[in-house]
Amino acid sequence: MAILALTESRILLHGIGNRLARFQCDEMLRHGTKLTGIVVAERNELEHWSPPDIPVFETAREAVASVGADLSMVFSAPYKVKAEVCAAIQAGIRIVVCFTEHVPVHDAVVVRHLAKRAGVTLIGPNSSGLLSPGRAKVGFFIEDICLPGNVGVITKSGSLAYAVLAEMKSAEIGISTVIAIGGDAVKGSDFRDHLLLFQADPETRAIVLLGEIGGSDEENAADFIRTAAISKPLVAFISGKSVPLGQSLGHAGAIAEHGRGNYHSKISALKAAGVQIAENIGEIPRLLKCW
Amino acid sequence: MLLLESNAKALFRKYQVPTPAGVVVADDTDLTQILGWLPSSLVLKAQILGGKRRKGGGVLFTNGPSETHNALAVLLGSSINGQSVEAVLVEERIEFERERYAGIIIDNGEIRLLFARTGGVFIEEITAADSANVATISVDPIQGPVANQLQDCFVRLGYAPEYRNAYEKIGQVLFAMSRAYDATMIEINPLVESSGGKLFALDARVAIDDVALDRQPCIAAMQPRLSVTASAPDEFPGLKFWENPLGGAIGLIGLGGGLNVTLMDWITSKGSKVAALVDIDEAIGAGQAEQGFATAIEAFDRHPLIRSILINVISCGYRLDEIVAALLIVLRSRKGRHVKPLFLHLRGNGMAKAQQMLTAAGRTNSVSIAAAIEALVASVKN
Repeated sequence: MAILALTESRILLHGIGNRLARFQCDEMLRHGTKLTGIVVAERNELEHWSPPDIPVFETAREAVASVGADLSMVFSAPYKVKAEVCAAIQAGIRIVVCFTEHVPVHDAVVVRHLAKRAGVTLIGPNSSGLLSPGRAKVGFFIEDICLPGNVGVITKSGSLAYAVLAEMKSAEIGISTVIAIGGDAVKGSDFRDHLLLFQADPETRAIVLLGEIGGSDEENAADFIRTAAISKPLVAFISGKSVPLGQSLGHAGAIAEHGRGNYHSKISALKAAGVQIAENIGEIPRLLKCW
Repeated sequence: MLLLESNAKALFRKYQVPTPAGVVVADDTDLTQILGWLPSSLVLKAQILGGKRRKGGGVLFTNGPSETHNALAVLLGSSINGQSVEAVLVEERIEFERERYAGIIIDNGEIRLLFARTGGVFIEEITAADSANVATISVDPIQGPVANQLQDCFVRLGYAPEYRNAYEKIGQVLFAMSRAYDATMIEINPLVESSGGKLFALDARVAIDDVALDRQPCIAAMQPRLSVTASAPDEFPGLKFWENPLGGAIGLIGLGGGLNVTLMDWITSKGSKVAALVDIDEAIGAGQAEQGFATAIEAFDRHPLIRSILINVISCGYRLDEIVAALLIVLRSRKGRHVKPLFLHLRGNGMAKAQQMLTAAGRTNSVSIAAAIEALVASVKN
């Protein structure tokens, strides 16, 4: 079954003026992913580009009404992300994936809040997207580096996940879906949201968490695993063990962090939750094969 | 971007937060001009960025002009916590009854207000020993803090009734300022209670979201400033260089922060260290892969500690064959000049074509990250 990125997903693309968006548009079509429309907030977004034969809409609302779009991919410029994501949420889109880097933190807080309130799954900002091999490509991940299978992967970093998927492929271990939640301080959704989805997905038999130092997403995930009955086998890798400790930003940062955020706090929280820890990414396939 | 205390207080005054009367001075002549209208009991504060200023000797209390001139002479040009003092904020000294703390921060995806029963320079130690010293309120980012929420918090912290409305205003102002100025952190420590239910912000720290500075031109113009994120040295435009303060023997040119850090960890676990790394992502994204590789390899060839170089690219969002084409141009142009061993691990979108190009150029592409690291580490141990 996989999660979120499905064969039947009806996908919209926002921010087509961005060259990465245009490249992804071509890549998705080549992959066979169903791209149902492009939302063009300003007509000049289409300049110097020959769009493929896909409907173009002025608003997400029109796209939802016309082609039943249910998933938005947002590549819009950083200061336009808030308006674009809000419009997608208001139009009734259920899943929004935001790829844009350098989105102002306050804008990210607002779209996260609105998405949660509306029950919309917001992934990103600064996400590398999702891939369910053989079903749907919603972002940068390519099928060449992975196999279809039954491991769900949740990662902050896209580049780290590329390497892990390649390691898993070498060991002939495939994935149901990989989701990049993004490494920004404020994320639309975090490990916890996707752990629940993978737990409910009958095709996913084990879950890999790829975290990194900073923030408390991994500690939050560990708390969640203990309390929310995540019963599927879990393997985690945290990058940043060798990075010298940084400094908190003011007393507020130190008080809020409360001893969380560093490599050891994450590892100890995940171990306490029963998660297997990989010392390096080469160990992940071996730990997965234990099951 | 962190603001100096004097700039942060200027923002507070726009929002009618009481602050002590004061002026920034950069020399003794400035001081002479202002002493006439300030009271005789003063506090002089070095205008530097970063915390622990008082513990570092950057805050001096004086009585009368003579002491004040002497204190200014001590502070100006001195080094406090490694920063040179170029300006000093001279403020009236406020008599107060109690030191509290108020702050706002973005944490776990939410805006959170923090108030403390006891503020001051030891707030972190006090809170570590007694977590009830600080109360935290999650704030709706659109509606702002709710009065009842705030008042409940003040009761819990034991704030006296005559100050609670003033604290509530502080909470509302912190929220309004954080939204208006794209502030990721604002704190008032200490926030003091003086007589008559009045509060004063004796100190102020404000951090602004770096990526929002283009829409905050007034804030961006405030100087001096310090970016809270590392930025590339000027000589390497478009590239993010990072030097390991612990040294090392390897130069890493990689794509993507998460994987770069993972490789650093892996190399460290094998008994070596990355001396410097550069993320090639922005150069590739800007269509300047060739320039990026040329700059990075040149820098690492000149780097005194680096003995071997690893180029690791696993690319899904860009075409690997295009990246390899750019890299091979650079390597060809450096033929005869490149002196340090170079290891490649390149995978991704357009792999077959990229591999053909590498083979034709006589370049070895490691079969795995593990194999690349093994060969790399062995090369610097010999």
